[in-house]
Amino acid sequence: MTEKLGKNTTHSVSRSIAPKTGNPTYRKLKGLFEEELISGGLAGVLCATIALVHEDAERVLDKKEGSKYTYGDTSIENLSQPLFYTVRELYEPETNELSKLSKFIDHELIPTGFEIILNSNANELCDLMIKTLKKIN
Amino acid sequence: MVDRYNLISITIKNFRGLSDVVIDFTEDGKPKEIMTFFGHQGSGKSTIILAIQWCAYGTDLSKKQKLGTDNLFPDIWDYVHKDTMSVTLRFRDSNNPGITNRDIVCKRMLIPGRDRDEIEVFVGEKKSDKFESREYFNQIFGSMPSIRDGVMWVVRTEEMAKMSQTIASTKSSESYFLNFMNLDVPHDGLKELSETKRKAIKKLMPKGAGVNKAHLDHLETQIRIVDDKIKRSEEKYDTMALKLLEFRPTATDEEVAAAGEGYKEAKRELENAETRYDGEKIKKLEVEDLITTLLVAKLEAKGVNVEKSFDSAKFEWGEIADYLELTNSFPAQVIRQIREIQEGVGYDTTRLINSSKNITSWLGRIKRLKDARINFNRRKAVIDDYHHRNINEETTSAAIDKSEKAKSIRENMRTELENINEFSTELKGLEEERDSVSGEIVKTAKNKEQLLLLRKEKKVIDALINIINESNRDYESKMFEDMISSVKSYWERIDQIGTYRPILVQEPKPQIALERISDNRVRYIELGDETGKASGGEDQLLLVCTCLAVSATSGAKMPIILDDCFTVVDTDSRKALVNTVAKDFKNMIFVTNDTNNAKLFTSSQGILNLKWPTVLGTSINNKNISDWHTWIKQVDLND
Repeated sequence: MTEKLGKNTTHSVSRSIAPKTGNPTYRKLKGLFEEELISGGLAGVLCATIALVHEDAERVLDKKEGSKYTYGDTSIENLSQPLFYTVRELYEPETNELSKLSKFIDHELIPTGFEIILNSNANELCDLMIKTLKKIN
Repeated sequence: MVDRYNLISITIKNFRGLSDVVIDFTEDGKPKEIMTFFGHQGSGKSTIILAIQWCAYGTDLSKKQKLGTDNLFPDIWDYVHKDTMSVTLRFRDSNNPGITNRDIVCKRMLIPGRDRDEIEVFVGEKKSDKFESREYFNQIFGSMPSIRDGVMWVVRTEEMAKMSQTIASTKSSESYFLNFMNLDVPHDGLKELSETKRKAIKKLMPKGAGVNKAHLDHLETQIRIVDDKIKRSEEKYDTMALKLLEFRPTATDEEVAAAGEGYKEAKRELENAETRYDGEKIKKLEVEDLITTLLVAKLEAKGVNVEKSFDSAKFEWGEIADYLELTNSFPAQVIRQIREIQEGVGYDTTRLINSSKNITSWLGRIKRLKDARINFNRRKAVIDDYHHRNINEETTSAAIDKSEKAKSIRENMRTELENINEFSTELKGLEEERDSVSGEIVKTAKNKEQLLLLRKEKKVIDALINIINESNRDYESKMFEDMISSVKSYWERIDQIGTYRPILVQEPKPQIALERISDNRVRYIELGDETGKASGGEDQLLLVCTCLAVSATSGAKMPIILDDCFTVVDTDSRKALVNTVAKDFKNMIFVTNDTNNAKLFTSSQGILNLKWPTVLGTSINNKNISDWHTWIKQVDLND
């Protein structure tokens, strides 16, 4: 079964990094960003990306039922395609099931990424990015 | 007439132009009564006379005087004493000219490296001790004259000039005459005593009780004013001291104030670090690119080759394939491929591929961001440490302010302390003056008695001085009276003209003058110029006679030396003069550069003709010593 990736998507993220309720420190990636993330969707993509590049982190599972996937957030329309492509290429190269990928992102990558942000200081986050950009596995 | 000594010989070594000269005054073993030194100007006549005079009285302590070392040393020594200088005079008792083994040899030496010259006397073969030597010197040459220019047994221009001033001047308070004779009565001690009394009287003289009282009142007022000033200054000082307690910085304050500059610098560094950190922070519009770059970097690290693909959801690829198939315009293969797109899940990789190019730049950027953040945190830690120590802008500013205030107070206190010290010194001076004036007032009564006594004493002293002055005048007058008879005696024997005769004029002070015999008109010696040369032959003769009179009574037993000092005296009188002197003084040296004068004595004893050989020129001053030495050996006594 094939599903089309919606043009607009929003990920459900922890309240701690969510708009309005979130901690500015997390929303500024421990001070590495000049401004707070503009949306929950963007926070979700960021958390997922952090989890993707940090392979060694212990995975955190969000066992809530139901889709976390919502529509209508224009802030991540340019990021959804690269994210889903990357997730598929790295974890589910054979699947075209959008819902499966989406569930993996929502239930596993985003919580794990948030935990990494939560437990890392800014230097560690920099090191993680540097290691990634140096393409060191 | 006093017994005299004949001069037998002169030996001169290293004296001015004379290096080694011996002049013998004997003939057939007996002394010549008269020796004439004849020679032109500069031939060395006066140098021999000066050598004799130096032997008699020694080196003058003042270098530039006639007998000072600057004048005595040979020119070629260039004022540096290089060898022993000596003059030796051999004398014989004029009453026993035939006894040679009792000759008295007087020698004076100036040895290099020694300050004072030395004398040595031999009587026959026996050397005298120092005391005896001095006695012989005094006996023969007389005591050192007060006036260094005047040596009575040497009659030359200088002595004539001084004598002229002595017997002619009515103005001079100095008595050259007495000085010549070493007879001036000292009364400086009394003058000094009188001056001491005068000063003591002045000191004790009351300045007036009324004046002292007013002065005392004035001083008391001044003391009160200065005392008030001190009190005010002390109050100010105390107030400031209290204030200083309030503002005196604690050790912590001083630490904080001292840390002020460091804190400011740390703040500046933090601000710079913050600016740099802010500049490196990821901007809102960069977040998307960072995320896609991280994703593509991860994909590439995992070996995934990101190919260009499109989002399949963008078009209804199945409906498009159906439509194209209906047109029968496209090959079946194309239609199939389009349907495959519809079946696959396509993701747009455009952004990933684009971001792939930014991996390197993002790597640099994140490194810089990390560095900037670390730097910022370090700077912030420094500031936090300052803050932890309660050092911040407010505290440092307050501490510095406090320190400045304390410093200012201290400076003011120091100024006030200086004022207090100054006022105290002034007060002390005023109090001392007050005490002095008070004491003076108290002492005035006592002083009156002492003053009376002092005045009496001064009167006595002044009276004594007057008496001594009068005695001096009387003595001088007496000396003139004694002298005039001797002068008259010489005049009568020497003067061959008979127009004048010497007289003593008593008023206003004793003077020797000439009186014309024909009309009793008095003629005073005229002082021709500064040297006091007499203007006419009679004057000159009067001076010569006076010099002879003084010399005859001066105590010296030296032969008389006439150094060409009667050039204008007529020929007959000159002859008479020479004969008289030769007879009275038994031994005479006559110095002249005049041929006619020299011939006066051809019939007497001998002439020492100081004539330069033609090749040597005219003056010993221009010759070296060895030349002169050669020349003096060539003396032609019969020329």
